[in-house]
Amino acid sequence: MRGRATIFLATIGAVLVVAVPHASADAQDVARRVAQEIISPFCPGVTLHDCPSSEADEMRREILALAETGMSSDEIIDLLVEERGEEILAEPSNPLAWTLPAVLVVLGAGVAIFLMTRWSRRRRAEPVAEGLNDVDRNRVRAEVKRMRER
Amino acid sequence: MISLAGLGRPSLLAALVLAFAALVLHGLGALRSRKDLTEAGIRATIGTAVFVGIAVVSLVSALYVHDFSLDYVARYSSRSLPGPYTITALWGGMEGSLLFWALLLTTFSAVALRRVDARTTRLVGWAGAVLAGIALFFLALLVMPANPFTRLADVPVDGAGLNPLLQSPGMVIHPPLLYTGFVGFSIPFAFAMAALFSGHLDDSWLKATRRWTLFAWSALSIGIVLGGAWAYTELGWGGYWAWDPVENASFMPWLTATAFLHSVVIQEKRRMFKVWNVVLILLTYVLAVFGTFLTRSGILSSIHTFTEGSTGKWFLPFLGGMLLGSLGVVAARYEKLRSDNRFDSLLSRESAFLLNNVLFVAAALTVLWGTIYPIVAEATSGVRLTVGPPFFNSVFIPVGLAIVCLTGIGPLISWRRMSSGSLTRIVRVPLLAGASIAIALAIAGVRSTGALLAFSLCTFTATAIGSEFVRGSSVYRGPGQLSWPAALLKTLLRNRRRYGGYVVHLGVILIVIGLSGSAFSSERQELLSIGESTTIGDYTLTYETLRQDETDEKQINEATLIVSRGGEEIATMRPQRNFHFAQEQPQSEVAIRTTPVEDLYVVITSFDQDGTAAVRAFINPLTWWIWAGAAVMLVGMGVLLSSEKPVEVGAPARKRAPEKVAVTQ
Repeated sequence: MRGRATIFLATIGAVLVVAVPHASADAQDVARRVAQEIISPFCPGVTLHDCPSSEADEMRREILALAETGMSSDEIIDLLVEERGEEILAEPSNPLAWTLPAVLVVLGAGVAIFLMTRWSRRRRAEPVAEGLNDVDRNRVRAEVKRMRER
Repeated sequence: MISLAGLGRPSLLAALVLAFAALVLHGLGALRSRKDLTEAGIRATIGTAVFVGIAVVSLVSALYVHDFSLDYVARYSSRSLPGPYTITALWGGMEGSLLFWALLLTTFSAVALRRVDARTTRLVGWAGAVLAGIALFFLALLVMPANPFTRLADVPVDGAGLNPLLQSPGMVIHPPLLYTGFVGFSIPFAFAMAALFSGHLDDSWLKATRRWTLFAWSALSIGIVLGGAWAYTELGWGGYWAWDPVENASFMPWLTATAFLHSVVIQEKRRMFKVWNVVLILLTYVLAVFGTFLTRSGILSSIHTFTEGSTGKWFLPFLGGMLLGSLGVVAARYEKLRSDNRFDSLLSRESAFLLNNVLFVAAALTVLWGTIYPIVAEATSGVRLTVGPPFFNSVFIPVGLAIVCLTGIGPLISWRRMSSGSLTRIVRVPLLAGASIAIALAIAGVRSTGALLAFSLCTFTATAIGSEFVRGSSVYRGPGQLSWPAALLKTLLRNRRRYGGYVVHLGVILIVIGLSGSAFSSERQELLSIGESTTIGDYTLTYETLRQDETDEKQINEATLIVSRGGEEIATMRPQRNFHFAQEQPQSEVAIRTTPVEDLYVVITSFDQDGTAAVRAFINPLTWWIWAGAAVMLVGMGVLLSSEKPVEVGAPARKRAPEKVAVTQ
């Protein structure tokens, strides 16, 4: 059973590894990739690809023209950064923006797992109640009283 | 119809006074446990709602009769604006949308406070006070810096008109739904605060507001999807979600609210997570108000516009005060909020829910970080650096897939603890289904790792949900019993909270399938003269004719494109590029040929004098499933909302979940 499971998982793994994204050097694709990676100077917070303004459209056509000369997407992006500054990048080069969310997820998951193991361990070690606190005691009293009244 | 604009400001002032009265009455009623004062507070709240309603009617009437003596009417409407869109001008600008916020807030407050049981006078009193406090803030904004009834000295002949992008059926429904969602969270927030203030920290506040939470969450969910649909059909860039700050503003509270909806279940079943639930609802509400602030203060385009505008200066202390104040109360009551139970095992429904919560909250904080990053960067370094879709996608794809996976596993795991053996037994079939899909798609030539993972996880989860339905309805099956459809329906209706939730999950899965399709989208931009063709995917588009026409409102330029595939004509598409006179701006009307397999999406971005068209064409696979998934979610929400019994606040808490639980629930 375990052997079969291993083969099964290995097959899945192989399928996922083989399935690398295919690269295409079509100028249209290059232009699209560039437009997706820079912020439109004409719409705040939106990539050039997603910006509906006419100026953005003109800029996209200029990028397509560059791509048709055989430039790669990185070369075009470098050119644009040189012209317009780093503000144009949709991915900040500052690592802080990238790392913070990852740190948050790892930290959150870590804290959750820590709490869970701590709680479940304490539970196992002390199967009997650790004595009642006031809140619980009052609640028990109220429940008993209610039962008697019935 | 005459302009009732003159009534606007006096009504707002009256509403402000009444909101203050409501605050005092509710506060005193709560502090002194005086039912009569609370009743009076409720009447004052109703009065506030009525006067805000009158103010809204007066602004709408001014919009309909083109009373351009009002600055707001002159800025956001015009004589040529088609009648049905006049109402959208109400939320087209800042002042109007804040007025609309106030209307929803006061109306919801009045309804919620009237509906709850009289036995919870103290909870109602505090909740009423919190709601009146919030209303007071928004009314003060409307009376001072964001007055929608400011008069113009020189009355213009015509108004500037509404942005043509906002003149679409989607914009009539989308903003009210978002606002309903945002404002709807005021009710659970206020009752959570009331529970903290009054010290009644059992789950009566949760029960009193369950329906409101679900209602607000449903409205927000559908609002977000409709926003995507609007972007898709109106903006003309071939997509539905750009991670722009305005979209993020609505997505953040949705994420925390979704976490809240789930963690509430743990409190109900196991009496754990009490602090967490209070924190989640206050985070949701603060994010909802923050979203309104982000979109309405001008801070997004630049810090400088923010400091120039005055609304932002009001919002920031309000937000800060609300956040710190409510966290302070949580801290003060911390001891009373302790869990009654503890985790028994890592492999339990509780821990699945906890993991779900970690993922949703981390996702929300990530969006928050990405959204405010440009502001932070500009404030600290002076350069406005933006984080765009590449950042959000790189974080969201893994988190989203983990959530999809949990959606499948979570409901299969039992409460308290489960042996790994029984888990393996239960997930075997869904796992096999998911893996088979991955292998089949890889063989069929799918070459994107992310998409393969997404499709196989979606299959896994859909199978898991399906198996839950089958298991649930097998009770009604057997000789002489119900047919499959009848048994499934009965299962759904007998335990609406559980199976309604599964239907919502199924809708989410369909949406994820639709989103994954974007991994395969393609695009072409081309200049076409009349008679020329271009190809995209299997399609050939031939530009046949150009039609030009003019109405009062706009000049229409419409291209006729013949679409053929394999030499066979399959469709005619008519994208437009129009010029709107009032706004002096061009606007594209896209043409979409939609099928469950893929959308062919064509937009014309400009026309030359000789009729040459700049065409942008997209193939968007599986987009149809996003809208289908939203429809399925809507059905699930309907089932969930219909499941709620009338509010029973203050009644003795229901029996605890049985300590010895069956495999599921």
